[in-house]
Amino acid sequence: MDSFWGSFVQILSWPSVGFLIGGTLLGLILGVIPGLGGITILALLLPLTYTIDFQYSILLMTAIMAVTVTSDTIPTILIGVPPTAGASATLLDGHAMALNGEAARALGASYTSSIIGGVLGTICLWLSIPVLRPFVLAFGPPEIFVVALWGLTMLGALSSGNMFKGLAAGFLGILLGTIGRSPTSGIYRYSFDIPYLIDGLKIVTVSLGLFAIPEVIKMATAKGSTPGGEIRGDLLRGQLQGMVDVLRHWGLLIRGSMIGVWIGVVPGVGSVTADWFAYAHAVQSAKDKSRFGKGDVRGVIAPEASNNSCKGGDFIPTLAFGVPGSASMSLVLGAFLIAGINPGPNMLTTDIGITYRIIWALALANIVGGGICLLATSQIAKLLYLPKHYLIAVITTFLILAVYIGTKNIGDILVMIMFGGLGFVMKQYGWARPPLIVGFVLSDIAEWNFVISVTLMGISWLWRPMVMGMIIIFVLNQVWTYLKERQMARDEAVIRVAPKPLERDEDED
Amino acid sequence: MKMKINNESYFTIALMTVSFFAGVYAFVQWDFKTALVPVLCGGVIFILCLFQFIKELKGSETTSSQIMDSGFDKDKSTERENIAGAIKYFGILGGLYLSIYIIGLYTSIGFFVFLYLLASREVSAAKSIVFAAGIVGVVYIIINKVAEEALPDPLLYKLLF
Repeated sequence: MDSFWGSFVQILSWPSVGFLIGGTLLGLILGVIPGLGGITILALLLPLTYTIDFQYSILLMTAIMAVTVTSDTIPTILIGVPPTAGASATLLDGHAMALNGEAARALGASYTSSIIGGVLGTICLWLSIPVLRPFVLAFGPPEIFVVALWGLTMLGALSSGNMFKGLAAGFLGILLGTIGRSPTSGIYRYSFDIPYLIDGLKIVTVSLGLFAIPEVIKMATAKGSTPGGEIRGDLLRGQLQGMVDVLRHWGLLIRGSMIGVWIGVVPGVGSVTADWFAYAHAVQSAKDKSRFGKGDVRGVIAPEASNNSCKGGDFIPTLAFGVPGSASMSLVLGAFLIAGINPGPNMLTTDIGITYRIIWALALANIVGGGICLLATSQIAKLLYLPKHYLIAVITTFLILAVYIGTKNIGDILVMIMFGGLGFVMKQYGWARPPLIVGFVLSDIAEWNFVISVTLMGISWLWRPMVMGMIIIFVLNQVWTYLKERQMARDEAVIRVAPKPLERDEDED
Repeated sequence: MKMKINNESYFTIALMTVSFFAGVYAFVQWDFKTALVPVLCGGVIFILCLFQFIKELKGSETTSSQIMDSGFDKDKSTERENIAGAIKYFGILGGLYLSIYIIGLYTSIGFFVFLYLLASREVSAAKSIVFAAGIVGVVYIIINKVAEEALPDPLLYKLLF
């Protein structure tokens, strides 16, 4: 408990508080810009881990991740363009409210739900520590390997809507992660005597190429209208009405938040899923469903609470097992590894201070971020209309700077461009990129624990009770996913004649 | 049943080829402990891509994902426009890469920002110069004051001095 409150005091001291507020502001600003999204921002900031002390860079990353899902509702509600797919469910009723002249009310409800949802998610993360500790401490190499594989395959199977593509992307990530020195034998693999490849590929280079470059290309080529919604009438009064709405529907708010936490814990089903599950729950549990889709505030409260609380849930497998459940979490894990910290059991024992700092950062960023949005919506909304050529020039500059500054190796720029090509092709043809980056990050952990298990125990590690239990769940999950996909294919064949209202963006997490 | 290889399938075939050769190379070159994971990964990717390829040939690929995975995307660009945009952007990045190698980071970034803004035809030359100078200034501060790094000399500098 001392460590818990000690972390709180540390966060409020300088310069930690500066990084926290800076990260919150940056997350809010960049969260508004269509096409950027949390993952691109995190990838751009990952190189900071090389230059800034880890205790500060993790605050920055946590704050950014916490609040991009708060400010992304501004373009969603006002102009009907969700910057990330995580805000897509809010679009249905939020934008309809804006078109009905209730934009301020929708925004007020959204910010309040985000703050409360984010804090509830953080509380769940905090409460999970004593529950998870005995389990995690009982883990040996076989269990860690199976959890890593389980997380990766869940992510692969669920994140793309196509099991084969998702799993192949995950294993491709592991294969790419094997380039360089083998962690078990010390032999250099796939380096072909090229000096650059001896150290292996770097998470910063791979993630920026895979995620940021395709987004910039999309921004450069994007066409489309931005109809709708403006803030009419008294902004403050409208926002207050939205806040009262949230308190009136407190049951829905809590249920939406719990859905978000649960979905965050499961690898592969990130904030997009949380958003839609919570929205579906709001519709199902409502007595009067007639207003949904036409501007019902409940259609804003549930998804917004859910996608913020999801971040707390998302941290649980990452910190406790070292298995990231989403692409953005894999970048957080990457930051840990760059700093020489191994997430897993240590995060619940010797490194518990870091876990508590993350918990506090998550809670405070949600509160501060939501508060800033409530006070400065009009100013933040102006960012929506930044000319894209300025944005592209700035982002490209920072892309180059981000990969070059850490190592000063010009080869990093070339490799980033190559991964940009891969990312673009994957995005273009519906191959999910999150499993690839998660596989890449987990490569060493998975290989080390797998080879240790095989070397020490032969195949007898497969009969350990926890391993067997996880393998059974894993197989059942894969079979269920495959059957569900086949069912969807059949359904789609039946309804193919109908126009498709939704276009996917499988890379949002 | 009509079978057709589309653009997407070429990517699947490329992945199959790469994973096959990566697996075989690992199997032939290294000892069991070193090769185990690359061989397994290569094999698994090859099999998964094969299934995917068959699916694409049969035309049974699902284009819609699960409902919760869907986003609303108002971008109306076609595949051709996206590819053209990508080629253009990769051309710019390639040029920037060569330029950094030859004339160094600061000069390259300055020229890139200036020319990019000018090429957009929405920003005047004067504004482009001011903006480019501002960006170079920020980059200089980040490298020299925040990160406190010294950059390697570019090729041109090495040749001249």
